[in-house]
Amino acid sequence: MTGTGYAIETHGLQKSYRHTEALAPLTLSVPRGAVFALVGHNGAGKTTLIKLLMNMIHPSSGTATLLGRDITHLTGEDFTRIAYASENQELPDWMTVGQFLDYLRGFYPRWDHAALVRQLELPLNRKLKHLSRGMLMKAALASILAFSPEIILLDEPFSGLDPLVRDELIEALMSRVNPRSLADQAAFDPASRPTILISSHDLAEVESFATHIGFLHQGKLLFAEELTTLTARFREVTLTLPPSAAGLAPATLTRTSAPLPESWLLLEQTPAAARFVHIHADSEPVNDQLATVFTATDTPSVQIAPMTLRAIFLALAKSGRAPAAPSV
Amino acid sequence: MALPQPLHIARKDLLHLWPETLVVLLLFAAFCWAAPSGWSGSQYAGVATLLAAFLKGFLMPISWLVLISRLIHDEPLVGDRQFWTSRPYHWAKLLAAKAIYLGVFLYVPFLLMQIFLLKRAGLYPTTVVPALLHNLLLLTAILVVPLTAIAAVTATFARMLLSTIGAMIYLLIVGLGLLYLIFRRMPPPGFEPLVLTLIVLLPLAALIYQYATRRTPITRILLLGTPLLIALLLVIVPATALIRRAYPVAGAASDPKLAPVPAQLLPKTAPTGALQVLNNMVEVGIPVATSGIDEQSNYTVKGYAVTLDAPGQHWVSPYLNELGTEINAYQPGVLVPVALPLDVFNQFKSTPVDVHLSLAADHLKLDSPTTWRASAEPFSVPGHGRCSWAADNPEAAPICRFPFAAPQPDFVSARLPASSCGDPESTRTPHQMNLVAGSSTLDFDPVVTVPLSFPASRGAGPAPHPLCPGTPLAFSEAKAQGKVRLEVDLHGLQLDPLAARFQERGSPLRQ
Repeated sequence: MTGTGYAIETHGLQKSYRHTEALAPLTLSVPRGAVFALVGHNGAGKTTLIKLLMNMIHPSSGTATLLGRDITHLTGEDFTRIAYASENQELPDWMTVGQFLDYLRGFYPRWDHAALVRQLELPLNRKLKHLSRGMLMKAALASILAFSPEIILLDEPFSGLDPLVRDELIEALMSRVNPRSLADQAAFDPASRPTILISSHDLAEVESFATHIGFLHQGKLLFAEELTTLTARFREVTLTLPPSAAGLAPATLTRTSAPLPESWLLLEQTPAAARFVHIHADSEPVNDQLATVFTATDTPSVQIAPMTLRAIFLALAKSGRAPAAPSV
Repeated sequence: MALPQPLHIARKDLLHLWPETLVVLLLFAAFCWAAPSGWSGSQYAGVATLLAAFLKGFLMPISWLVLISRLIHDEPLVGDRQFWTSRPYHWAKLLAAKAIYLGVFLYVPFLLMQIFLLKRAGLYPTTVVPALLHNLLLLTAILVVPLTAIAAVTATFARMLLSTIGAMIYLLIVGLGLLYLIFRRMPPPGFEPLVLTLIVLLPLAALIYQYATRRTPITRILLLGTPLLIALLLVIVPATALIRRAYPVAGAASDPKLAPVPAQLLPKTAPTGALQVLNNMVEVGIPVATSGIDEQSNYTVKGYAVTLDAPGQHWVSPYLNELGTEINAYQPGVLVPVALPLDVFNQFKSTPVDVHLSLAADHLKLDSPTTWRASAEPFSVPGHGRCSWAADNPEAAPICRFPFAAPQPDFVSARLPASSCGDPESTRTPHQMNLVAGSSTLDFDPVVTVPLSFPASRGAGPAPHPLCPGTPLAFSEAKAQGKVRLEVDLHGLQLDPLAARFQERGSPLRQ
């Protein structure tokens, strides 16, 4: 056990293939019990990061720990506490679902798949190779939840699944974090709540249940922080001059020579309006910054609007830079 | 009670790979059925004999290749998508599971097959336990470890097959390169066990490393480096010093003496035929007189080194392999075939040369003969062998069967009639034959068959002498007495007349 309270810690973890850098040096800390959504486009480095954490591939440089264990020294024993499932994992497809679960049972000190089989409606007698994509992912999920892991790493688990199956999987997964029924809540031990790291290229599917979020873009981690602080500090600021009265010259908005604050992204400006994304709207004096940067011949109206997660990510991707937020 | 992890994995493998395993076992059974057909001593191969050859030369190795591939690739070590790497597998236990599986379904059947065949031949497996174990070691070195190591650095059967073919080509290239570098060089004594050990241990180490780390590129380099390392060792080893150390100079009174052949017996001029040149080497037959050898001793020359000196010229050869030269009391001298590079031969051929010849020889001595009786029923002979007459052809020579190899060299003497066993008037004369038979490296069939057939005497016609039931047989086994280096200085030798040449019609002529 680590004393830091983090389930995952990386320091300058990096992976290169010959002349291609799949993952830039990455430093990240994921608290225990968090549901950490790792998002980014295809090829952003999400799978590379997860495979590095699972010691499936070897880092080019840097270090990382899972549950306090150096990832390069993970042994079979560690995998009784660590779970992993991926959309493209090669399962022993010659086995039936029942054989697969029974076989894995022999490796774990704790194992119970009966409830999961019922919840996910798994066909025990069907071979894995004859399962649909959604059913296969259900079987994979059952095989990792059955041993009550302390940490779960999921690589694009919902990719290509229909919404119904996806919701079933999320339901099964989240029941381990926040049980819904009163009976389950009563029996739930918060100390047994697993840490979950889940990668996805679809923001919408993780927005509903993630507690923390990290954004990988072209191998670089642009930021990683708690979802509530992220949405609290990102605001879209719109500055609009009133329409001019008939016969009068239109009011104009001009930039002063003052430099733009670091926390402004994607500034767009017309003679009568300006719009940008503020990444620290919760902690910086937005109105004072506006007065320093702009002069106007009339009093502008200022709208400070909250942003969706998708809008935040688009803004960051467009601007191509990190929002200078501390790691979670 | 949960099974230990290796057994748990092995049970899963059996559940998955039972068809492949069944095929392997059936082929073992088929070989058990077919192999005895080759023990008749007949030179004509029946269908079953051909089947046995096909089984051991093709079907069985292929079935093992498939089984090993499927077994290792059930938990592939190459790639990053396999499910087992994220499960509580312990690499050593996984490797143990694979070893257990191969032990139960390859080694044990192989051992049982050999025991069955020995018993079927009327031999006693308990007398050859070391040979049985040695065969398992060879099975490990030649087939199992290399194939398992290749499987461990490939992800699929197709890739493994291609890699195996590639490995064979690679070994051929390394072997040819080695042959080029150390053509005909004599390996130092004890080097073959060392090479065999390296052939087993280095791939085994690579295999263990791959299971422990799954660092496939490094393991591949280790595997590719194994033949190169062995080849390098063969090239850089100080062979001459090691051979000199292993073969001390003969100095005892009982050791043979070598001396120059009287000059009048040496040819003076070179014959007219073209010089025989093989791989840019010329073979020169150097005659040496031998004496002081007791009648029971035989010296087998394993290698030789030669030093040539002429005014202003000096050349020394390394120890080169020599096969076939025997030194004993029954011949007054030997012709030692010495291979010289063509340019060295041309350099020395026209001047009298001082030659220093050093022969590395194994000393063998015949034991006192032991007498065994050739009875009409199957009878025992030395070397844990059993001999018997064929029920359907009692006129033919009895067939002797030995486990793995006939004792050799072993001479058999008997007094035999000139015509047939049924002729009481026939005079019995002494005759001798040499039991020479051994199994090839890793022969699946441990039974070696030798007809107890005494060759016809000179001038007595082509028919061999019959061995009659009840005849006493005297077996004399030659025992190794040690290694010795025999040296001789020959002065003023003309090399050109001694070189091997072609006759004008093209057949070789040795002067």
